Amino acid sequence: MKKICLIFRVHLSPTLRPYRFFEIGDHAPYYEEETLAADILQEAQTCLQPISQLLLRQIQSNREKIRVAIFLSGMTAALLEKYAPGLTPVFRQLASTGCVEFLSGTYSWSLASLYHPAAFQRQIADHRQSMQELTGAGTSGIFLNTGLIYNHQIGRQLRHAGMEGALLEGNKQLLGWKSPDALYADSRIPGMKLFLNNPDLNKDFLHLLTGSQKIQRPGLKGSVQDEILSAGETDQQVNLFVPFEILRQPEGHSSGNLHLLEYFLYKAGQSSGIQYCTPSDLLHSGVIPEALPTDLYLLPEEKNNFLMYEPGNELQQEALTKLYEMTGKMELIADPEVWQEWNFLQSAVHPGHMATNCPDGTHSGTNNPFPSPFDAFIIYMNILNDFNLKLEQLAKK
Amino acid sequence: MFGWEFPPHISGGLGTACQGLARGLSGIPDIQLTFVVPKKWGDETGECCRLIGANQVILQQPLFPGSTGPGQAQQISLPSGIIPYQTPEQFWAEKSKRQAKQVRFVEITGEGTVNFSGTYSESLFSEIHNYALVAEQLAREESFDLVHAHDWLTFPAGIAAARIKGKPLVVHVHATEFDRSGGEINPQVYAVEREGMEYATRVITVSQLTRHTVIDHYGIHPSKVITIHNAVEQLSENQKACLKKGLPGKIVSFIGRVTLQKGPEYFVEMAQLILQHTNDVRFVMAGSGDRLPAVVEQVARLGISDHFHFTGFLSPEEVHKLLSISDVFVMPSVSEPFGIVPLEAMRFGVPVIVSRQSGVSEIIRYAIKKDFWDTHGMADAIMGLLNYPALSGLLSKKGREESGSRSWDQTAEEVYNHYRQLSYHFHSL
Repeated sequence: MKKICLIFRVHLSPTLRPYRFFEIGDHAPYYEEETLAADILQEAQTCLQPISQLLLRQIQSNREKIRVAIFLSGMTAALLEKYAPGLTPVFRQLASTGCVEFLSGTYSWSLASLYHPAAFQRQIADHRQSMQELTGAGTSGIFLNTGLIYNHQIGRQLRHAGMEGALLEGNKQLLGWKSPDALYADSRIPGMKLFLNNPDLNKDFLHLLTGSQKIQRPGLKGSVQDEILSAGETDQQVNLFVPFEILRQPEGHSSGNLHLLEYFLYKAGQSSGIQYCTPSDLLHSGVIPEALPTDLYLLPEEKNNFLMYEPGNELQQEALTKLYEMTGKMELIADPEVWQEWNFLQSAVHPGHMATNCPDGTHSGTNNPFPSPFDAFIIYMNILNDFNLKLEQLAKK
Repeated sequence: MFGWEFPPHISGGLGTACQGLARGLSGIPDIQLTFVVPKKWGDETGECCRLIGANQVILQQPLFPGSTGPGQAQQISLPSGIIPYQTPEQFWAEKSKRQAKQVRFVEITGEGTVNFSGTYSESLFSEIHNYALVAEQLAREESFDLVHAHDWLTFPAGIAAARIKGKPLVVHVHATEFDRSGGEINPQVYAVEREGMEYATRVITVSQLTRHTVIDHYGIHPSKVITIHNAVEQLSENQKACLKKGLPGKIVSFIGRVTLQKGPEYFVEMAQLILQHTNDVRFVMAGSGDRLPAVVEQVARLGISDHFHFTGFLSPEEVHKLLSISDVFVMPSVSEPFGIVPLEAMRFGVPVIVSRQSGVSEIIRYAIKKDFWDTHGMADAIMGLLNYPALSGLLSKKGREESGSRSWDQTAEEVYNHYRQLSYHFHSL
């Protein structure tokens, strides 16, 4: 029986307003409220709503057969609560089917795991709480870190937070000649299981879902769909990651590429040699995982749509260092609004806009709302400085 | 190759670009380059090619060398239809004779040559006209395969030389009248530019921005207009030596002619926005031009003279000195066909802010780009650069690499490829 693990990811992050240097100290809003409201509503209507409804429909009609995992950031939950409250019940419904596993992760889809252990723990806890409020079911013990970043130090922190497994990128650096399509365990951290994706196959799968381009990969016998859906050897498992935003409906199209996802789910539902499952199902299926050493600092090698962050650029490092230097000051703050701002500033989308070499070959990335990574950096740093002043003033009170 | 300027006698980027290209081309074994300037001063750094001054070309040999008085001068009929004269009387005497329709007159010196100031004086149009006549004469004597003319001043000369031997003409557009005038087009200049572009077999523009101007405003067929970006000279070791700053505080510099085209007023506005909040920044405007008095007045009126300095026109060495003490370089040009100075600044590791209305912004990545009117945005970018060392460090390091990767050899190679398409001579090799 072949096991397919479909993992969806949703993260909404507000776009920062061009915050001027001379506004530092004014404590002006960091976002344009109206734009933000419109953006979130649009995202809800063109992306979140149709996909979640589709999943719910498929799960209800193929009872027990379709099981998927979803990661939804706490920020997303907060933004939906505020700007698209009509959408939140569907997640509760999805949770109540018992066929959807809500994964653990960071509240802000943040990079705290690389910079600040305490902030990381806080992010995990905040995320768990916000999921509890949104779905009523809480999160599982499987962790999806931002950008699939993992190493044994992060693994140790995750174990400390009570996690049983993590999802990561199945790159060659880590695997050598081993197959990504199996369950592994971290050789250095007892009780920590590892779920890997197969980057090539995953990329092709996303292309398949979006219908964006013909797939011609050496070694591919039939179509990607055939490869995924063909009944495989015993105990083979395939982890496929799907960021929600790639399935966004083009404006003016009521159906669009969601048909492809629906067809895929239906097709798999019909097949007898295929079983959908969630990471937790795999974990408790009795498969004995092979040990995998994770001494190398593991960062995603392949840049596909799923990953938004590529470390190394000085601007990103500086911004994140300055951000997490404020962690200590945050501990003195009780004001929930300031906490919300702090959480929003941690979103990995911000440093993503400072990338100078983007996967799509452009300088600043086609989805960058700022004219250049340098503008993105200046604006972010202006805001950080303003936020820092705000914290100092609050601390004095 | 015809060009109006050649270093060190330059007023802006044109001469620098001509020299750079000439040096680059001289590295290609297939090319023998003759560069014609209106006036040869004798101190040109032109070891790369044969440099001829139009003022040295003899149109008429004196019959008796040494006796140069008007009385002894003899009229020799040239097949060119050019009649040289030395005095007004001679001019009128010849003029009153029955002459063929196409005959042109040119005033010569006792040595039989034509005088050129080589600058942008009031008699510019007559100089351009005379330069073309000399070019024609020179073309008769010389043998060549292709003519390459830089900017409108030399277009008539380029046409004359190309026509007389039936050789292809390449015109190189470094700037158009639309860039220089800011909207008030001089029809005479426009006509000269257009004629040159129309006659030319190939029009080379220094940026896509200029290419569009040439196609849209001059009606030139897109198929013959190509873009070849400029480059920047590499630094020699002693030029890299850094200067000690004499002034406290950070220095933001503007280097360029103080004319409408370069947007100096926006630089002042931006300076004022910054100086309202901080006293720690100094602004330096290097260059001269017709807007300078107005800009000085503007600075005085805003009351920021104590932090805003004017240097006047700077020699290349002085520009290098200024760049080596600058913390940020800004080019807020309203319309800039290319703009070499930002590349020079990057070569010195100075972070740059350039206007999006410039050709150079097409080829550089490690620079901050703003619209020229967005003075708030520019002020913000400056404060960002001065306050966040990670950003200025990155731009300095990567900018230096980036500017170093674009050499004149590359530009020359691209130009040469087009030569090969135009002239069979280059095919034979």
